[in-house]
Amino acid sequence: MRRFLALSFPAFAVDRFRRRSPGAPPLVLLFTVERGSRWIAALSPEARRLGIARGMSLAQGRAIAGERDLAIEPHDPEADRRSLAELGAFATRFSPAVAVEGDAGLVLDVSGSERLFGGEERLVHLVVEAFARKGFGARGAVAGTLGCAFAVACFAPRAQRRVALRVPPGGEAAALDPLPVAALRIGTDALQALCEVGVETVGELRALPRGALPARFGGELLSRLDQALGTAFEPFVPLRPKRVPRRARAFEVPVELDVVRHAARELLVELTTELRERCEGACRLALDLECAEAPPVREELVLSRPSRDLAHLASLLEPRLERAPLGFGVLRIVLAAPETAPTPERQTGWHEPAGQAEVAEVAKIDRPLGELFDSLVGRLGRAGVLALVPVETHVPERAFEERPLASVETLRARAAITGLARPSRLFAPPAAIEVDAGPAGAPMRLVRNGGARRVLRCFGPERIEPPWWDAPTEGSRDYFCIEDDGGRWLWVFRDPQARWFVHGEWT
Amino acid sequence: MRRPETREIERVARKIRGLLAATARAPRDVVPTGWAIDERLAAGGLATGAVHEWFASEGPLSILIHLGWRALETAERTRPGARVLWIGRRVWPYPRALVGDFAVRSCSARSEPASSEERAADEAILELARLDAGERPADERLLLARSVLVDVREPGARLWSIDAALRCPSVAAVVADGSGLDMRATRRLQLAAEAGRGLGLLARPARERDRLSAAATRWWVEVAQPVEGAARPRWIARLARQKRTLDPTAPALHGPACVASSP
Repeated sequence: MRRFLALSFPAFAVDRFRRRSPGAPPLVLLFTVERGSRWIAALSPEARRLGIARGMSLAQGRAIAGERDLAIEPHDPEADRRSLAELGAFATRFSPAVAVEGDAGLVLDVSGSERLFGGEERLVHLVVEAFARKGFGARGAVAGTLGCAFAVACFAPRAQRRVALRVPPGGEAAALDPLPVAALRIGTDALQALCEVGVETVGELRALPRGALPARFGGELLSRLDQALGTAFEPFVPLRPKRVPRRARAFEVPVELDVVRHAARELLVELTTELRERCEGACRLALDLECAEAPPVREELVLSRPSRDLAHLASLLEPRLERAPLGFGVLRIVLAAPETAPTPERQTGWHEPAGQAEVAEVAKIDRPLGELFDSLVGRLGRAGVLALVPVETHVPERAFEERPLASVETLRARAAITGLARPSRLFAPPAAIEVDAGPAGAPMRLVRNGGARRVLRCFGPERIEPPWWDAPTEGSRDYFCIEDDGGRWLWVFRDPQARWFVHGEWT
Repeated sequence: MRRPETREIERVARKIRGLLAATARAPRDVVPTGWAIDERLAAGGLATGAVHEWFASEGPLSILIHLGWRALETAERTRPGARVLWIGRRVWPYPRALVGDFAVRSCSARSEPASSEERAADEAILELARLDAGERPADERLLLARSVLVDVREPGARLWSIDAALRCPSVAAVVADGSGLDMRATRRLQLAAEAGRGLGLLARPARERDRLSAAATRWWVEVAQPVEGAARPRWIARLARQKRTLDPTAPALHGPACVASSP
């Protein structure tokens, strides 16, 4: 007899946001962009209490919240999914088989393992508490089928929640009957059709003649119902942890540095071969040495970009080996790449005319540079070492992107760059200033940092329109290059409301 | 008991030779600034493998970009693929300014004779000018493609990053936020620069002018007062100090280092 523990996270996206930014206000709105405007995709219970609901436009949500503090962020379902898989890995401490169910649910196969935790009810409490400590509000239930456990976890009414934690074997039908039909995990079309004929609960659905169901509501409904009741089989696909490339050597007697170096080289050859087969590069390397009469040594390397280049990795690893305290020799050596990332294979094809500027955009990173970048990334993180990429836009603050060095290497972008004069420093955001404009609209006098300055020279205006396809609220800007009477050159603009800002300076 | 003594002397001599070989410098590249002030500089330009400090109230970015270009051009001749690192957000330029269609040129250099109390004050008036098509570098986006920005806030980590970057032989120039550095820090950076081959440029706030430093040259930059007929951003750069370096491979130390042992 199989038993399943289902966990549902009713506010998964918001909980994840809270965990990332602990100081955020209680009102949280996560939005998606659809049809050119922003819609609320997830929100905190505090926000729901105010009357804000999922599917409202973000502007409406803001208006309801009024003066209260709001945290607004884009909703990232892809990151949610990744994070859910990580939580699944965490849940393996309760059961070896864990599967992801839907967008915000986990299912654990607890057949037999509940005894280790003192019974099913206690197990559910333990699991829910463990997730609550991690900051995720979860509801759990145990039942004989995956479908039933999930339905009860998601849809058991608040009053019954304590009782319904455990559905006794054979009690699936009784537990499902009072639940709404949405608990069966069926598509919106079938839900709509059921709603139209007034079928609201599973009990009412089961009272209908079985033979007529597939024709009226589609085949999925019946199979979902049977799966939940346990009369049809439902596949359970557990998460499989990604295998970490790892190689090891053990020695019969403690060996000296020369042998260790040779063995490390061999392991590296095997590791890079495996990485090549997987089309991946190592982002992190871990070298473990078990030493005789000395504590074990662990050396970790963080790389600025995924790499499986043997010479490069060996040059990073060998100095570490030489510095490591090896005691009376090494007994075992383990080399692993705990973090890997796909490296796109680049075709150096005959059809690419050699020597073109586009091909030579990113110069090769030689070994000393690679080591420098790796040590910088190791200390400052991937976001601390950036390269510049021109972007095809005329908006000055978006014309260049700073990207982590790793992502630039494969890039061939060669966007146009405006030929007009631009300052050497751009202020982000532009600083508001007071300007007295002359009759033609050109600035005559400006007040900045409390000091008034006369404008000696003024070139402009240069009109920059916002792109029509986004940010329709922004207006066009008229830019002027001005020299004040102190000799400083500023790049100022006027927005449609005749407010003035200084956007840059030639420093 | 003479033998152990001579052996001891030989050992010390070998050690000294080893140390000398380690400190013996490869011939240094010189980065010409392209300004008239070059002739006042001992090397005929800014020496690589050394740190140069630029004091200004607003980091003299245009000048540093210009020097980054010159350093990259110099490095490209001997070690293609060299990079320019910009360490600290205070020296991150607006990337458009890295495109090589503008350059900082000197309009007129004025050298005042050294008075008895004061050291020679050399200054140059510099202006930002658009280059004609013929004067521009072959690949205008070379500096843009070779620039690497390093985002580091904490002063200790910043000092470490500048040190690591200066030591790397494949770096053409390191432009770094040098605010808050003391004598020990600049000494460390100067030593790091001597170990590498890049040009070290530190942008320091003007209020730190009086601090002691081990940099090879120190420059004060101010915005030039506007004059008639020159409608371009202009600065006055003053060469405030130039260190005379002591060559560790002076001939006096190069004598016969091996002491002959008597039979």
